[in-house]
Amino acid sequence: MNDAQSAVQDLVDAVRTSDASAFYRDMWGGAETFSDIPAVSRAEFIATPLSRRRYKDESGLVKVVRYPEGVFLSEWSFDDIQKEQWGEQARRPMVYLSNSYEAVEKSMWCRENNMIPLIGEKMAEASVFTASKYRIDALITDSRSLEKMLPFFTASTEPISSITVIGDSFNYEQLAPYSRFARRIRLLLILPETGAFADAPYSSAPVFSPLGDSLVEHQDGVLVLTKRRLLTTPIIQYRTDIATHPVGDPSGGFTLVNR
Amino acid sequence: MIDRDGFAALAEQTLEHFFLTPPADTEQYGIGVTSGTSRSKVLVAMREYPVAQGIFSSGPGRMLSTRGSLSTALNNAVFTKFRSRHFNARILTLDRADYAADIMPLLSDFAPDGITGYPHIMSQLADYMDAGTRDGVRSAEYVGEGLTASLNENLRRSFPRAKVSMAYMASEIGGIGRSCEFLPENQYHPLSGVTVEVLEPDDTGEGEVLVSKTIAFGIMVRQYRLADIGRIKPGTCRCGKPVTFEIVGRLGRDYVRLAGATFRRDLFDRIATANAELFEDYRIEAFLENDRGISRGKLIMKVYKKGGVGDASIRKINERFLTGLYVTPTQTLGTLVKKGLFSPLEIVVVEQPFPDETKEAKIVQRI
Ligand SMILES: [Zn+2]
Repeated sequence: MNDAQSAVQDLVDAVRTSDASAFYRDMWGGAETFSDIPAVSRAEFIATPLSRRRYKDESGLVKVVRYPEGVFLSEWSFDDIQKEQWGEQARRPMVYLSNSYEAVEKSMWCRENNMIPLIGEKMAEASVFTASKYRIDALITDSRSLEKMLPFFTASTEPISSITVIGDSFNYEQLAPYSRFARRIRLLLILPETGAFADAPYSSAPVFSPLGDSLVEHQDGVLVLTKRRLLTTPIIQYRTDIATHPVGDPSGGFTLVNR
Repeated sequence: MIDRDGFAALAEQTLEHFFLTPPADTEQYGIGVTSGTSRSKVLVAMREYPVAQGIFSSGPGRMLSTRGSLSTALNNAVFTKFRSRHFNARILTLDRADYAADIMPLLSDFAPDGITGYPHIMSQLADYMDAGTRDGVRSAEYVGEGLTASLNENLRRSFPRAKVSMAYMASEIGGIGRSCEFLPENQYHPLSGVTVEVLEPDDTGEGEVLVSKTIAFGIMVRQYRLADIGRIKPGTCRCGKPVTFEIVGRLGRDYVRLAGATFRRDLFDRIATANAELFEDYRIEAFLENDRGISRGKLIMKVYKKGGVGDASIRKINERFLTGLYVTPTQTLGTLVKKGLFSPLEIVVVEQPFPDETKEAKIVQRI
């Protein structure tokens, strides 16, 4: 085990001995140390009801997470939402996302961090209008919704402080025209069921760095994720389908591989 | 008295106040956004949540909600957070795209003990919940629209163990009223700090509802015209609240006032249900027509039945509505036609079923 792995051993112990759920324990068999435990994947989340994957009883939001291979519930406590690193501190942030569960959750992140978010509605015209009315200074968005905001940006005289683009893949060329509309554009790797785990400043060839609460490993060309905090539905050795290429720097940087 | 334009000016004031002096603690503030229509622009206003009022101190622990706009979905989440000060509260605000067969086991797993949202959407969502899940629902709070008799019956069948309550609100100003355990459907007590009045009530006490309340930062909206029709109920409620009001419809939707007559959708529905063998569905257009300088009310009723509606049926439909539809406390539509205040009812048979999206606006007033 390396240092990063030892640091999550406490989490592994807590989950292994938990009275709340046997989800991971059953899957791990007798394995007790982080380096020995097998990876879990989305298929197990789909196959196991939320009530049997829940490791703590806290207030929060429940989301429907839908993939081509199946659908499952993901629960996030308000405390865990607050600690996620989804955006940047701003005075008047807007959350504009095409997935309604993500939009509400990221808006609650703003609220939990003492901001009053404007939430963008489906209709692009209305969202552009409300954004200018609220004089937004930051935007949390996805690639698809960002495009709908173009009329807002072209009508603005000054760049806003930040745009955070969230997703599990990015089209760097498509984002290029937006770099003049904000002082910072941050790309944030995120899955609905895991929260955020790595980010990169926008560039034509960004290198992503794991966030502090995330242990990112690369196995067989894909990203395997462990979140250090005990989430309501913990993420431990979660095998994603995000293809990555580690750059070999000490901070664990990696690039995304287009498939 | 202020209308939507007047409200727009107040909305600006709340924003200006927020831009100049943003509050240090943001928790009790949010943003109210109205969905714009083709005729009116979207409104954005700061709003203050009634955190101190204790209305969040109880409620279900696992709430399932239908989703209207994203701002209302966010409000649901905010309210859940307020509830979480008192007990463990979770909410699942289900997106319309997830009304699918595969959601049923997930809802059963979530096991909601409370539901909230638009009643007509909730009755659709009930189709995606198995009997055990629906039986587990102990409280239902309906909001956003009135509860018609048939909808109420459906919902009570779907959620047999749910205690029903209703909330009355408007997206731009937030909460206005809430029901209590003693009130029937569509009746509410104003929330603390909210004043509800009725403008120029007719002889049954019905008229346009006016609402006064503080929106945010001490900025008040006074006698705001919400385009809802209601009446103030006399007397003190058994719960002790001195003021009770009833919402009977939406101006120009469930409820059209024309040429001294009142057309209520629930009365049309009642006759339609009783005559289901003649026609399956209907839509009404009501308007004033000008006949050589004399203006008269006019109704065009479109009817649909699979396989068509014959002439004999048309005559029967005409007769049932003329004699059965009361448009004032004492007069039927037939009486007003005889008096020349209304033109004869015109019935048009259509060959295609009505589009689903017009289902909530069966009576439309044309200008
Ligand atoms: Zn009462």
